[in-house]
Amino acid sequence: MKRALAVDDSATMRNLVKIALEAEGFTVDTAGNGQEALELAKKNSYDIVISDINMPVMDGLQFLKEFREINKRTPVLMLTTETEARKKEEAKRLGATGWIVKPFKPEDLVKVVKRVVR
Amino acid sequence: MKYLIKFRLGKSVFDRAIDPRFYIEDLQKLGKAEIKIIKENIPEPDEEPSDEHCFEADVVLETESSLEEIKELLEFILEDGVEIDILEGKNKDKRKEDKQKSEEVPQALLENYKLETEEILSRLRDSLEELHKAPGSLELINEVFRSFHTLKGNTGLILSYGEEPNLKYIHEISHKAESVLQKARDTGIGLSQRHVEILQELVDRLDDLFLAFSEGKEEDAEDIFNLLDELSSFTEKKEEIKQGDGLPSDVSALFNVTSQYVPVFRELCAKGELNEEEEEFFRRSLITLHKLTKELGFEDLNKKIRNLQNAFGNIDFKQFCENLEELAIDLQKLIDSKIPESTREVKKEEKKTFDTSKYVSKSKYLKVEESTVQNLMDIVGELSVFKEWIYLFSNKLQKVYNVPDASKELKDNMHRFRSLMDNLQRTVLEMRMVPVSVLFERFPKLVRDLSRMLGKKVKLEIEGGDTKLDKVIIEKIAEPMIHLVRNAIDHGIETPEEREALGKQIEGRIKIKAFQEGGNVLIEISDDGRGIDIEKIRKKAVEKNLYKEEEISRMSDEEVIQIIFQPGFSTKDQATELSGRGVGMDVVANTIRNLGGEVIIKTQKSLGTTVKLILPLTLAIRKILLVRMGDIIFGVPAEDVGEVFRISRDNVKSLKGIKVIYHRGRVLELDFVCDRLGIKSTSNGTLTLLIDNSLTKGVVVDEVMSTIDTVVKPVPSVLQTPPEISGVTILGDGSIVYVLEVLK
Repeated sequence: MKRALAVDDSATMRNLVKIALEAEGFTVDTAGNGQEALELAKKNSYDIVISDINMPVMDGLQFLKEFREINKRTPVLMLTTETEARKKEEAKRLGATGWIVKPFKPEDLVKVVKRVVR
Repeated sequence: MKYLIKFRLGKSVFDRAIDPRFYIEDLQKLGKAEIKIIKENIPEPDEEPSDEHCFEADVVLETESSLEEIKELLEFILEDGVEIDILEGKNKDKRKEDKQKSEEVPQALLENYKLETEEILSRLRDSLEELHKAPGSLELINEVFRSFHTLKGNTGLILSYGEEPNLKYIHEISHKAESVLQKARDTGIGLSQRHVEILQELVDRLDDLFLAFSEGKEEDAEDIFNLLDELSSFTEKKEEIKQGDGLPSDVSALFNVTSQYVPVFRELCAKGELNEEEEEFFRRSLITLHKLTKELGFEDLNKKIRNLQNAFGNIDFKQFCENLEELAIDLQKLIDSKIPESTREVKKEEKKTFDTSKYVSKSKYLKVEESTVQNLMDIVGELSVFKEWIYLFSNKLQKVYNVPDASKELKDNMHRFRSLMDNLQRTVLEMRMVPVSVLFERFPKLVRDLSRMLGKKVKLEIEGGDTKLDKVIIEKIAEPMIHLVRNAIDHGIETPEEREALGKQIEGRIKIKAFQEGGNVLIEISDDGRGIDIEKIRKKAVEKNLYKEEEISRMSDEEVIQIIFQPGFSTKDQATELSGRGVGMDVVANTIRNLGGEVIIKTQKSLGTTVKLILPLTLAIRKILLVRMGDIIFGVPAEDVGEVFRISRDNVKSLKGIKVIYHRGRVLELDFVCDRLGIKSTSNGTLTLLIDNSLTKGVVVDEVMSTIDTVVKPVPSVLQTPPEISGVTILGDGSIVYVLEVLK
C-alpha cells in the first residue's frame, strides 16, 4: 500500500487531502506544520508528500529544503495559492516535484498525484 | 490533432524526484503515440542526481486532447526542457467547459470547514483583542494574518464546488484583511487601533455571515465594503495616529524593526566579513530603516542612514560598523524617548515570552473535565498493572515457553518501558495537583470575620501557598481546616484584654503553613494563644464518663490530648455560635484519617497550639500489600500497616476469650480475619501478623507476597461485600483483588 504525508495547518485542507488519497488506497499521515512533518518523515518512508507553504512553526519551503536534504527520491507536491507565483519558483528550486493550486477538489489532487507517483 | 513533443530533460527534474517516464506513459493514454527515445540515463532510486543524468525523447502524439490539456499534463516539467509543436489540426480549448459546474460539497469536508471556521473566528476575536492593546506587535499581526489566510483558503475551497452568497462575502473579507495584514507585517509598520477596530467589526460580520451560511439563510452584507475600503486605505493615507496610552503605531513599527535589526547588525559587525546573504540583509534593512525614518520625519536619522547606505561597500567595513553602531544608539535613544516606560516593559516581556505555542493555544492552562483526568488516571493505573504482566510474561517466556533469549531481551528493555511508565504516571498525577493557595485564599476573610464576631484581634500569616496537593484532597480538607482556624480563634487566642494582662502582644497570631516532606504534604495551623488546658480535658473526660478517674491519672499528657478527637468531646464551657455544633475535632480527625492522613496536636500552656495535618500527596495511586489467605489473595493498604512479623502459634494467649499476643510490651488483640470471611487458613505452626500503626491490633494472614503501586477502585455497587472490603484492584495477570480495610 502506498503511503502519503499531508502537511497543512488548516485541518480542513489536511483532511481533504487525506479523504481524497485514502479513497485511492493510500495510507495518509498528517502533520500541522513543517516541523511535525519533518519528524514523521525521518521516522517513516513515504511515497508522496503534499505540503502547504504558509504554516506556523516551520513553513512549507523550509520543510521542503530540509526534507530534500534527507530524501531526494520522494515526490513532493506543494499546495499554493494563485498569488504565490514567486513561491512556486522557489519551491521548484528547492526540489518540489510539482504544485497544486488552491482551491482544488479531491479529483484534481488525485489527478496530479497520479502524475508523479506510480 | 497531431503533436510533436520534445523532451530534453536534465538534472533539474531529477533533483525534484520526477520520473519522466511517467509522462510518456500518460501521453500514451491520450491517444496514438510514437515514441523515440534519444538518450536515457535516469538515476537509480538511491542515486544522487548529477549532470550525467538525462532523458531525451521525441513523441509524436495523435489525440483528441487540446494543447492546453497537454500543457496541463506536462506542467511541472514544461520549463525544464519540453517543447510542444502542433503538427496537424487546429487547437480548440475545451478545458474551460467543465468549470463553473455546481457540485455537492462532500459532507465530511463541509463539517470540517464549519468546525474549523468556528475555531478560526474565536481565535481571531482573541488575537484581535490583544492586538488592540498593542497594535504594533508584528507577532500578533502575523497571527491574525494567518487566521485570515486559512479562512480564505478554506472558504475558496468550498466555493469551488459552487456559488454561495455568504461564503462569497466571507471570502472577500478574509482576502482583503489578509492583504492589508500582510502589508502591515512585511513593511513592519504595524496597525493603528482604528484598523484593529475595523478588523474586529469585520469579524463580527464574519460571524453573522457564517451563521447565515450554516442555517442556509442569506445575509445582506453590502455594508462590509465601506469597512473594507477604510481598512485598505491605511497604507496610502499617512497620518500620525496617537490614541490613549497605546504606542503611536509608527514609532512602534520603528521599535520593532530596530529591535530586530540591531542585534543582528552587532553580530555581523563582530564577524568582520560578510557573505552574499548577509550583505543583502544589510542593504534591505537599511532600505527599510530609511523608509521608516523618512515617513516619520526623523530627518537627522534619515540622513545618517542615507550616508550609511552610500558608504556600504565603499568604505572600510570596520569604519562602516562604527557608524552603524552610532546609528543603533541614536535609534535606541529615539525609541526610549518616544515610548512610555511601562509600555516598553510590556513589549519586551512580550518579545521574550513569545513562542510558537501561542499559535496553538492562547492560555498556559487547559480546561479539562475532571472525569477525563480521572479516566486517564485509571488508564495509567491499568497500564502500570499491565507493566507487571509484561514482567511476569518475560518469566513465562523463559520457564514455560522455553525461549530464554527472548525473555532476556524483553527484560533488558523493560527498564525503558518502566521509566516511561513512571514518567507518564508522574505527569498524570501532576495534572491533578492544585496549589493549596486555592484553599488558603479563603482564610484572610474568614479570620477577619471571626475575630470581629468574637471581639479578638488576630493577624493571619500564610506560608507555602504554592505547595501542590491532589485536588480531591484539597476539597476534602477545606471543611476541617476552617474548623481548625475557627477553633484557634475561638478557643486559642485570648481576648485583647487577657493578652495585655499576660504581657503578650495584643494582636494574636495564627499561622498557616504548608510544605512537602517526602511523599506527604504537611499543613500546620498554629496559634500563639493560651494552649490546650490538659487538666481541663482530664476533668471533662471523667465528667463525660469517657474515662474513669484512675484511668485518666495514669495517662500521659499526649494521650490525654488524643481524647479531644473522640466523638462528643468539647471543652468549651458554653458552645459558642461558631463551634460546638457537633462538628468537632473528631470529625476533623476522621476526615484526615479517611484520606490516609494523620493529625498531630502539640500544645504548650500559654504559648499556643499547633495542629499538624499529615496528608498524602495524592489519592490516585496507592501502595498495596498483597497478602494470601487460604488460596485467595487480598490487598491491604500499605500505609495502614505499621509492622509485619511472624510469630509461633504457641505465643498466642487467650485473654477473656480474646486472642492476644504480647509484643513490645503491649497487648495486641489478634484478628483472625480468615474466620470472619469464611476462608480456610493454611497456616499451622507460624502466624504472619500485620500490625497497625499504633500497635494495638494484629491481623492474621497466611503469607505476605509483595507490594504494588496501583489504583484502587470502589467496589461496584452491584456487588454485596462484607464491610471489611473497601475496594478492588486489578493485578498484572488480570485477576481482581479485594482490598481490605482491616487495620483502621
